[in-house]
Amino acid sequence: MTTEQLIQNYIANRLSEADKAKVDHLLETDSAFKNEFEAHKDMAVAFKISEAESLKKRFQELDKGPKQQKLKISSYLYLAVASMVILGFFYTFYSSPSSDQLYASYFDISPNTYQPVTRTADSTKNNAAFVAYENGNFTIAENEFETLLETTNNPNLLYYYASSLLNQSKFDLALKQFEILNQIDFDYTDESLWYTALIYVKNEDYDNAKAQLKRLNAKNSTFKTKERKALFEDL
Amino acid sequence: MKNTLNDNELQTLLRADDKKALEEVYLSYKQEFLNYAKRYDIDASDVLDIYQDAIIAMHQNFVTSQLELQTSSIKTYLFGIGKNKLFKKLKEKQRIIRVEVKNDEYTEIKIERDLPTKNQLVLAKRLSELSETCKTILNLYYYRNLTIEEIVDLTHYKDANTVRSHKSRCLKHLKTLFKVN
Repeated sequence: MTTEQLIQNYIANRLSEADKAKVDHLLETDSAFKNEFEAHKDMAVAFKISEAESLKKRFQELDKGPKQQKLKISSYLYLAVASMVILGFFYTFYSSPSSDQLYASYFDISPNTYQPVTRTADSTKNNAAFVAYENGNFTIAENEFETLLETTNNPNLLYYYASSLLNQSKFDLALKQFEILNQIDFDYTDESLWYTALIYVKNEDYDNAKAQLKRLNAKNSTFKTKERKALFEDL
Repeated sequence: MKNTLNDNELQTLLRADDKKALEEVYLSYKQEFLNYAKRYDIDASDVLDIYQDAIIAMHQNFVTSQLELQTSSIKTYLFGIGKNKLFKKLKEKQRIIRVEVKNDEYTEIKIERDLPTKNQLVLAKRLSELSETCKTILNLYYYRNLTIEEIVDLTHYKDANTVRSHKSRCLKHLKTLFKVN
């Protein structure tokens, strides 16, 4: 093995223990070897830095990619649909315009951030439920989540079950599920408290709505900070 | 990328510095990691930054050391690195010294890395001024740690001597750029 190969193999971590010891010894005793080693290492590190920078840029581009844009557009669409549904309720049930309008102006569909629907392997089990959810087929999503919840206690799935109910304006049923979730600490605790608050707003139970918002404040939650503040002031 | 790739196949692609495979891994676990990190009190933008750094650290270990995960999956390894970086962030903010959250199934994995020297940072900048062919050959040798013979197999160079002389010319050119600037 030439000196150059020895150095490369050392850096690539593919030397035997004996050869590693040999390099360590040379580094302490042979200044010419040490210089060559340092020069090689500088090149390796320089490439690592440069590669890391370009990967970081690539990831940032990916995050801005069309997928996210699509999600943004569909969120607006959901918001528009939800607003229309809520307005429909207003005319049908003569409920207070202020609570309905308030609800409609703050409500948006909770996006699926739990499980990407195009993934492979172990994630396929829950796929049908999340595919339906992402496509806005909340009745199908409700049934699929219900089936899944027969065999698991996963609170994240229960959260999306509750969201499927809420997105169909099944407020009381959704509230029941959110209240169960609010007893525990899980990945979507903040979201669950937020939607509970909105349902209370819808039901004109402003004290309970405020209580949920206060719970979020007490947790120093960073979820929907601006909206929470604005809603609290509106109540 | 086909959806049928299993963890071992993905690892092989990562070792070969396959950027498409890396993007697949990045997107596959991104949301899950962001959700996982919610149990720690760190801003969402910082968490995304940490996730990106973790995935880069993981990838570079695959590429430079030809890492083969024997007992864990890409995900467990990635989340282990990410967890270590999350704790580092919390420590930086001096919020806590150490916290262990219930139901956290990941074991921290620390990837040792010295802070780069000034020379290394300048060299990294100068790399962008090299021609593509020089950058590629030096990348294969110094970043991917391929042997001269492996480079011959992977490129259009006719033999080992051509690779050696080309590599040495490129290195000389880089040194000139380094000195000039």
